[in-house]
Amino acid sequence: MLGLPSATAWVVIGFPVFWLVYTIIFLIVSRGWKKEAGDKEVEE
Amino acid sequence: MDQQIPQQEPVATEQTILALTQHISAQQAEAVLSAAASQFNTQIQRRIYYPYYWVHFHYSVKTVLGKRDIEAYCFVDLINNLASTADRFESETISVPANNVLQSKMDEEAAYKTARTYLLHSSIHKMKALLLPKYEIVQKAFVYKPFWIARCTNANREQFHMLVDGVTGKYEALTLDGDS
Amino acid sequence: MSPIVLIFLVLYYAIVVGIGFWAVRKGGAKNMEGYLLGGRQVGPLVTALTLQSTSMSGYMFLGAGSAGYTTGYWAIWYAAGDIGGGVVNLSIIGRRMRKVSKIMGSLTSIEYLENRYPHAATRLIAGILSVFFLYFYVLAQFIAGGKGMALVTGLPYWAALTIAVVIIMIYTFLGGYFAVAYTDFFQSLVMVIGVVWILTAALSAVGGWTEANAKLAEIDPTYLSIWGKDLQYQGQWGEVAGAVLIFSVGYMGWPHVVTRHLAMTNPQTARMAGLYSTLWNLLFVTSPYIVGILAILILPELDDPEMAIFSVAGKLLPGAVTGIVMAAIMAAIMSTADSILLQVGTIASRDIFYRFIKPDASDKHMVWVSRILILVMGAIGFVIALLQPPGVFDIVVFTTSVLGSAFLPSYVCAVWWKKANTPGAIASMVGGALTAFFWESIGLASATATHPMLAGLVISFILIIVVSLATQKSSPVKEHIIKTMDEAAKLGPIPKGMIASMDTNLTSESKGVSDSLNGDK
Repeated sequence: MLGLPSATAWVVIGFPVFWLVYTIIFLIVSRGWKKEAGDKEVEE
Repeated sequence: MDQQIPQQEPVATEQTILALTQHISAQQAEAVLSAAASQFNTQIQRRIYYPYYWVHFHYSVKTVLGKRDIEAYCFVDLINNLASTADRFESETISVPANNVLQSKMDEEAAYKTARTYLLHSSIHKMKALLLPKYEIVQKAFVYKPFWIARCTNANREQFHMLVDGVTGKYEALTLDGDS
Repeated sequence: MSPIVLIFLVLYYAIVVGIGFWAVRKGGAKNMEGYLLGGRQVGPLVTALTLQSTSMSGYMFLGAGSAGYTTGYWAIWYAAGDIGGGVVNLSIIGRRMRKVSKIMGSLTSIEYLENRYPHAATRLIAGILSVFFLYFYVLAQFIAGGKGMALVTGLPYWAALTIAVVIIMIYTFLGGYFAVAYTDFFQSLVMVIGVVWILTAALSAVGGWTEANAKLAEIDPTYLSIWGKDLQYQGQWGEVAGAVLIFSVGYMGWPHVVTRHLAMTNPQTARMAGLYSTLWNLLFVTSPYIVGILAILILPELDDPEMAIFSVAGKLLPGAVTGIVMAAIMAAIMSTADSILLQVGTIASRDIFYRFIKPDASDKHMVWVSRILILVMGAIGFVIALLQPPGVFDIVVFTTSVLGSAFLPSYVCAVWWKKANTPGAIASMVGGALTAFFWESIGLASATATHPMLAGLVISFILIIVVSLATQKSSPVKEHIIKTMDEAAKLGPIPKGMIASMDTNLTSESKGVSDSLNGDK
């Protein structure tokens, strides 16, 4: 795929997919989290 | 603590306080909790007034872009000695039963010091400038915020208590002795 | 660089300064929160973009490009961790950690560590480690600013570096225009468009991704390998794990600064922050690495791999666009440098000077201490950046490894493990930092095929567990801390949905009310 060795292609495609799934699961698990308006963390 | 709703009792002593205007009635607070915990029977037990020390600072900082004038409202939680900034708010002077007013654990001087230190801390971080703001105090006062205390019970005789913010309707669990 | 680039660079700054003035005018005297962060006024998209823009430091533009240019697809491991960094942070730190820190009333994460592991040494060690390593990070921004400035203006590096450092110092002392949400937003937008533009231009210049990979294979097939150029990391899973961990969990070791705010209105739901962050990172974080890889084909004879992205932009983008994008990038670099310098200055003055040297210092006194410290550190940084500038990529990876190894186990155990005590935390901070610091230089990285980040984390976790268990008798965890942790964990029969929607901003009030009522009886 994309002219890449298969291991590389797996990593290039796999990680974004993994994080998307992780995020979606997090969104489902955290259903109902309210914005905590006071929380602003300065983080660089 | 499980006394009946205090408003129905004969009022012993009254205390006049400056309080944030309540926006959430007992019924609304109950409704908010019932919606979140439908299996539980929610009952508002009492209203309490939580002590804060409020300082309205007007401060100015000279930056590269010229002078900036900023209003900052600083609230100090007088039980835990924690400062925070706050939005604009409405308040009113009211008389309430004295036993519904939580007692402050700090004096004015200590509270003011906490507020000023916090102002410096947050202005440096928010303005992103290492400047000592020139400030003046526009107003300062002891203010009280109304909270509802609710007891939630279910058929299995499990119970917990919730604290509902009388201004915003947000809530947080209480950890009272005797809860399951 | 051509004069067109310079003209648009200047034009861009004029516009940004203009927005700044306009915002100050329009703003007048306003509430501090709304004025400076604009969070609730400007809506969630602007907020998300503005917050994420803090990740756009010199690392993205110099470090990531250089990693891609020198190692090929191996660099993707670093990007792979980075994409998930935001959501991991949000999901792991989560509610319990916020709650504990709120009950304890800590304003900085160093204060938090001291409250949880009470001992002066906790604060001293955490403070010194933070100052020291954040300072390295500032150095990386200095170098990035100097190199960018040199490329755009055509000035020699020393002159460009001087200008960059002077501007950064002015911002730090006098306050720049960057603290206005609108300018930050504008800047982020320009950079996102710029980076995507650079990526698209690079892809079309090499005839598409697949074509590019084929050409890379002709030069050296190992560029395409996931084990690095010349397969130098083949089978070294310890290196791979470290590379992924760096930016996914390493950031959690960074000392945070918290400001509290009491909202007087009902808040809107912004649970989507995790999603925004992942989507943003997918687009923005991977692009610089890919551009770095493509630069191997576009600019095979580059002297300095750190200039890969800037040079690709200069070669492929229209002059006007290069000027604007470069201006935005430089502004971001300087803004990052400025806020980290401030953080270093306040940690040094508040957590070290005020706490250990002069507890009766006035506010004015403390601000002056920060200023002098920053000036001294700026001068030293300038000299290092001038005489022997280390690679931006190396600095950032090194700094993140050390901070992550030092602090992550203590943060995590602070909330999740009641037996974690002061000796355990101190051993873990010192041991983790030393391991990550020396792992590479004493040759253990190549001997064990393990990345310093992984080694540091493992050692740090082992130390906090072993030392805490061994010292339970002599230094038991204090009663009030256990009570706080119980409170944070205690849920009783409260329904799950309700727990999720509770507001931790009320945690201290809840504690105050509970204590008063429990004491009343």
